[in-house]
Amino acid sequence: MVWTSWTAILLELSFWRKASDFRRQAYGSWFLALAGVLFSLFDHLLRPAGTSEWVSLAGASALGYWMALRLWTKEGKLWVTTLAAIAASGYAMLLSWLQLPDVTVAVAWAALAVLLLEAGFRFHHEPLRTIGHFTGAMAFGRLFFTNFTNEGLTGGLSHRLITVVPVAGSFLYLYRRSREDAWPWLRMHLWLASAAIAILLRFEMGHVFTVVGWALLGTILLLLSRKYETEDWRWQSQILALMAAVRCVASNFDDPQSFAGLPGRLLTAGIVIGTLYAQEFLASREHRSRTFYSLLGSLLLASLLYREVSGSGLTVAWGLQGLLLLAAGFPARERILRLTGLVLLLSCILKLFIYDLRNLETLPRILSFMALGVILLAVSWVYTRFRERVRKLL
Amino acid sequence: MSDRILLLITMGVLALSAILVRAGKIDDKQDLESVARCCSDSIVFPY
Repeated sequence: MVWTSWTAILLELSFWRKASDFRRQAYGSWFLALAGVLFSLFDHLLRPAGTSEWVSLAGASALGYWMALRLWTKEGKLWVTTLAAIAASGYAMLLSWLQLPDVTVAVAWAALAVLLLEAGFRFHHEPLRTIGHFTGAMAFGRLFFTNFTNEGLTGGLSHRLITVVPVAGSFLYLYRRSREDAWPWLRMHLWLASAAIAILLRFEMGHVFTVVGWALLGTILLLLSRKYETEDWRWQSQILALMAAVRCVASNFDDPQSFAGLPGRLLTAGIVIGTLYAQEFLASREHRSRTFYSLLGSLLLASLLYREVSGSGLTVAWGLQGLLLLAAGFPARERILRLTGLVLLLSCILKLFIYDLRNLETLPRILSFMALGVILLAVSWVYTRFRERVRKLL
Repeated sequence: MSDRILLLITMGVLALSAILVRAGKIDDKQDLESVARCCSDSIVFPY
């Protein structure tokens, strides 16, 4: 703190007397101050921080920002002011890390990121804005150290929820505020915000309902992507849909719990499948993501049927699914639904001849053949009887 | 909505978050074990 103060005095003298000697001495004592802070940091790891530490860091940080500002406004020195701002931001982050409750450190860093960005715009200092974005990314990293696994509570609300949501909101602000900069990498804020919320949902909703949270978040992101024409949100929505489907198969299908008399695996998988088909119709007609959501939903439903229906009834269950997809595909004018339905029916025929004929008992075998035969007859009848109407729908 | 109003809302929500945490039962822990638990719980599907 004293060395930093001495630096500030020398710097002011160099402005006043226009003397380069004072400037060189100022930079020297500044370097010593920085080394002193680093030494104190390592020393602190061995003993708890006291009043002297926070007073020293707060003073050094404030003086660092002030000197950076003076050097920028007086002489326009970009690199020195950038280094000074980095050091001052490091002091401020260290101060909040030492003094605040662990769970609020990320919140403080997010606030610092916003302030640095605003200062960068106010003083037309581009690197300061970059430091702000970098501080925001550090706040995201910090969430993993304490926030996601934190057990603190306030009025029934977890400290996870109370801290992660505002930090995610600050990422969206950082992105929106920087739209004039148009740096492509600033889109990282959109990904950081969504990733923070997705991971929060994992810890907030528990093992079973995480997939429901992800499916709903994916739907919200898809709607946002359509409203604001943001490709990143559409990609995120697709990634979340895939994650929800994979987690359903890998985890939820084995869930032994029941909710209101309904097996948890059916409830959660049903919601995810419903959400995937809803996303298909919410996605733009011009985009391939419709096909992705549709195929994922059909695949997940087929996997659920494979898991829930025993061997003898599986062919019939898949046949019925194919029939339903075909039936839905005509009025909805969704070619992918009709094609998926036909592929499922074809798979049923193959399964019937390759597996069922050899492995099933006589009665289930007869029933499978009859049921699939009736379904196929119904499909061919619809295609021939309503040929003209089907052509119009296509 | 103007940038200034959004800035006020963002900073206000961040400040409110810190105040709410202070008002509740704080769980003060930060360690690498917590990071490892966070990552493993996110990826592994235990049943």
